[in-house]
Amino acid sequence: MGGFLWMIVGNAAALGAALSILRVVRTGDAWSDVVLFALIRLALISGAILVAGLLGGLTPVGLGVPAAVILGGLMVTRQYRYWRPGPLPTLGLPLMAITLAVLVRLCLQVWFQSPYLGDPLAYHLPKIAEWIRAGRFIREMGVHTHVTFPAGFELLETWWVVFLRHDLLIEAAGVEFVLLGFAAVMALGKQLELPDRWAWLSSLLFCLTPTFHVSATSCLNDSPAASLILATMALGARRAHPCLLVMVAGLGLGLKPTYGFALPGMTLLWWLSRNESTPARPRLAAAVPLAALGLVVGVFWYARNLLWFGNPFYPLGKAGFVDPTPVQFGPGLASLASNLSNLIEYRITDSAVPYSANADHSAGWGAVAFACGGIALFETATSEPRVRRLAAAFGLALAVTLAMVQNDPWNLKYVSWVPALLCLATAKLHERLPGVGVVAAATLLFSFLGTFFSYDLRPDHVRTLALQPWAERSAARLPYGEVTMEIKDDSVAYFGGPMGATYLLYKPDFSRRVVYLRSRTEDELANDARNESVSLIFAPRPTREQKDILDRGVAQGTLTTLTGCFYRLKKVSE
Amino acid sequence: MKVREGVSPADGERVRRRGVLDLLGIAGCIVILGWRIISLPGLAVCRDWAAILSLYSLYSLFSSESPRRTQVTLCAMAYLLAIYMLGQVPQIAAAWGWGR
Repeated sequence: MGGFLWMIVGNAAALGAALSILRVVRTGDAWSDVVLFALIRLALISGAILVAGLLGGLTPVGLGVPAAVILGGLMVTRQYRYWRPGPLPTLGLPLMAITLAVLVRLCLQVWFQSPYLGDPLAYHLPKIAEWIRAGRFIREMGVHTHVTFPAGFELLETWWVVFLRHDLLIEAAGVEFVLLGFAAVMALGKQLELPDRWAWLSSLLFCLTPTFHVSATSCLNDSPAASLILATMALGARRAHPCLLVMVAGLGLGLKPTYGFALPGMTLLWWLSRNESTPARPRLAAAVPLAALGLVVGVFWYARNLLWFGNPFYPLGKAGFVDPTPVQFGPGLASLASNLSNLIEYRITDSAVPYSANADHSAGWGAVAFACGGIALFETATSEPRVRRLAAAFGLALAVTLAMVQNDPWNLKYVSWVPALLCLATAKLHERLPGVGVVAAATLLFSFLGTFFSYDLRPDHVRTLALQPWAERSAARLPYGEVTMEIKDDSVAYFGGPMGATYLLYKPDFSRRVVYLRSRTEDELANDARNESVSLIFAPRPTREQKDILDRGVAQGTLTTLTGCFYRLKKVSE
Repeated sequence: MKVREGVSPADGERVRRRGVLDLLGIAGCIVILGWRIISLPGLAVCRDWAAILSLYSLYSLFSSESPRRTQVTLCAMAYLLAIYMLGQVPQIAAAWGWGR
């Protein structure tokens, strides 16, 4: 209960502080200011978690008390006088109904879903579990080769688990970025002079594009990166102050380097919009610290890697580095050609597999991009300079991103922001050809129905999750899980391959200790486990060397095979 | 530059530039259409997004004043939506546990 109250205080302080700062840096354009507000809030939260992580304050009280002080300060200075929401646009019943339905569904997903996807379970989330258990940042982050990647999104996920010391609401971090993406597309729509209703429709269409939507509640950081790209585009097209753009660029680079691949396109849009009216000038006393905060939050991970490993991009670029899920380092024209060709030839159809967070073998841009977007973009770009400008920026950002990522079955999740342009063009074309709205509405409905379940989270999985009490809800019980037995131990040793779902071992309340063993012989394994006082060893997808060690341990009698990937270390007296 | 009566030199320049862009657009569409026809077997081109889009763009470039343009645009969108749904409905059914 205490954690819940601290969470309320923390969120009230973050909202209040962001609103107060917004007052002195606003652009003057309503939806650009909504985008800016969301970004300031995310920057403040990221900064708070970063400081708390470094100082050992990653606890409900460690964050809650400073938040209470900030909230008190805001109240004493009567900042709440300025916290007034703007008027809601007139939408009409159908649009309002589907918006509410999407919001309710997102809330249900946050409540009933539990982290389930391979990458988050293997390398995004174990570091959060270690941070929460330790109450601070520590060097142990798991064994996956990607654990050292920038973790800006993990900071925001930590915000949603630290107060409750439970991962029940962890998907709320992704939902925040759905809202940011929505506001960014809305701001872009208003810059294209779309009426409120059609700008809203384009935002809704975008938020329901399969990859963006499914990914948002999967604990992957691709949808958040997409939202930050769109937010930068929205602020860049509005010619927001460079300090504000630096803030969002810092957040983006700290969240995922793929954000950086879109920077040339974002810069182009900023330059092409140079003749647009300049927005209200922010107070530099607030804008400069915001830029510094964004930069620190972004650069932190690269500086840490440089300090620890001598390479800001570690392990990428390391000689002889073998990656179980290879990542391209540097640009490649061959990648651009193959990625573009795959996109046009079949992935745009999304017909190879059901929708999924990783956009497996598809683009996941949805029906609106396929049916309306291409035609609408052609029609509007040939006649509207602002659409043309946006198309040039998106085109450049898309080309650079496709040149920077290797051709694999899931690489198009890095460009899940592209459909925003196609949704905007569709709404823009509707102004000229009203019938387009009917087709767009059909695609909206189709997308809504199509994104209830995904390839990796089907109805039986959701049922399994929903039937568990909220306090124990975990994907460990999903049929495809590797954790095939009820674990009674308070500590478990992990000696599996880099792709194992280690996060599931911690339990949803992070009450179980997980020890990562990096032993090179069977004797070392036994000694390491005994030194850590653990006897249960979890070894899913072991490497060849690990498998040999385990087999020899079993043959020698030091280990007993339990079920699936579990082993028990024999006591010394046995 | 010789321009029509009532049209300023700037307008004339814009029209000329527009003409060049149209020509480039037509060339691009023909190249894409040709690529898709050559690389796809038989009638698969009828279901191909890039081919349909190129064909539509060619139509649009050549018939900007056509009174049937709205209908053609909506028909093209509806046709593409049908293609998309034919591919995706079985996948959604599978995800819901109704199909394969």
